[in-house]
Amino acid sequence: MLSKIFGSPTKFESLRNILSNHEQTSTQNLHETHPNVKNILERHNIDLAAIRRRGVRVATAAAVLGAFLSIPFLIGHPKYEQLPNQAQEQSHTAKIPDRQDLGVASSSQIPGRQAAHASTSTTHHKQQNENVDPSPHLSGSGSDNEVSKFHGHMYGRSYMAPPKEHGYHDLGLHRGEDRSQGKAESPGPHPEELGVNHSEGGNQT
Amino acid sequence: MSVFYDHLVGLDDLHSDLAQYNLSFKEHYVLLNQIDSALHHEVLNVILLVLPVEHHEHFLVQFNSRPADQALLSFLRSFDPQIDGKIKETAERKKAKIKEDLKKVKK
Repeated sequence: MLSKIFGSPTKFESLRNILSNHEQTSTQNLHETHPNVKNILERHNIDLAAIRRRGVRVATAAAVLGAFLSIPFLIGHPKYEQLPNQAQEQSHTAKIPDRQDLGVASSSQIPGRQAAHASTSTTHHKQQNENVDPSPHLSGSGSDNEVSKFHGHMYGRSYMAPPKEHGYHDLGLHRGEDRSQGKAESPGPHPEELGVNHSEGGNQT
Repeated sequence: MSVFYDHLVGLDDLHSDLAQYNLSFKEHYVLLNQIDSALHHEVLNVILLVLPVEHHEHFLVQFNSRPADQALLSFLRSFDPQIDGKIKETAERKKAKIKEDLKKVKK
């Protein structure tokens, strides 16, 4: 363990000597076989070793950036594997998990919600459970709490926070849900229906 | 990818060979850089052997400005379609020599 920190100077020195020899031999070989190269390198201020080092730096930077960018993905997704066709199936049937799925608040607490969710959430719940491979997270317990955590992580968010889309959740609504049950104000006619035609110079309304 | 021929020259085996010496991380990577430099010069030697002399300057300037550009490999293939194999072979030969010398040092 300590050798990982302090190293072993004797071994290192002897290895370095061997590798330095190899490095020098290769460099000499190159310059002997191609004497014109030296002129070219001097004329264009090219350092062959630096090209390689620069490349390594770029690769390292890219790896660090990639790791940094993958953090939200890794946090948001539990470790589970899916076959490609299963993943496709799931994407076809994907919907926003409701609050019951997320385990935040029961939809039955909100009047008029229960009926709307009863048909969709139960069938969908089954579908998703069938599609998902049993993972270390889910196997064993199989409790609703575990499942709801898993669903909550599907969209890269904490299971405590419902996914926000189009601001519906700010209003306590889900997508496609109308809490006022058909009494919501109409958004009005489409601009095309109003006869606005910009292509004719804008004089006509 | 750092240079255009990286996929042809792997350092994984030498990396694991060096790991057996229980060196510090810094020492390990110093040595790995030396190996990499040796291989780099060997590969350039083969490349310049394949290229006609009048193209050396163009190639080296392009390589200096865009080391990872795969177009460089395509350019070399236009002169020798077997260049991929040659680069691989040279690197493997050099790696074998290095491995042999590394064995001389007690682990």
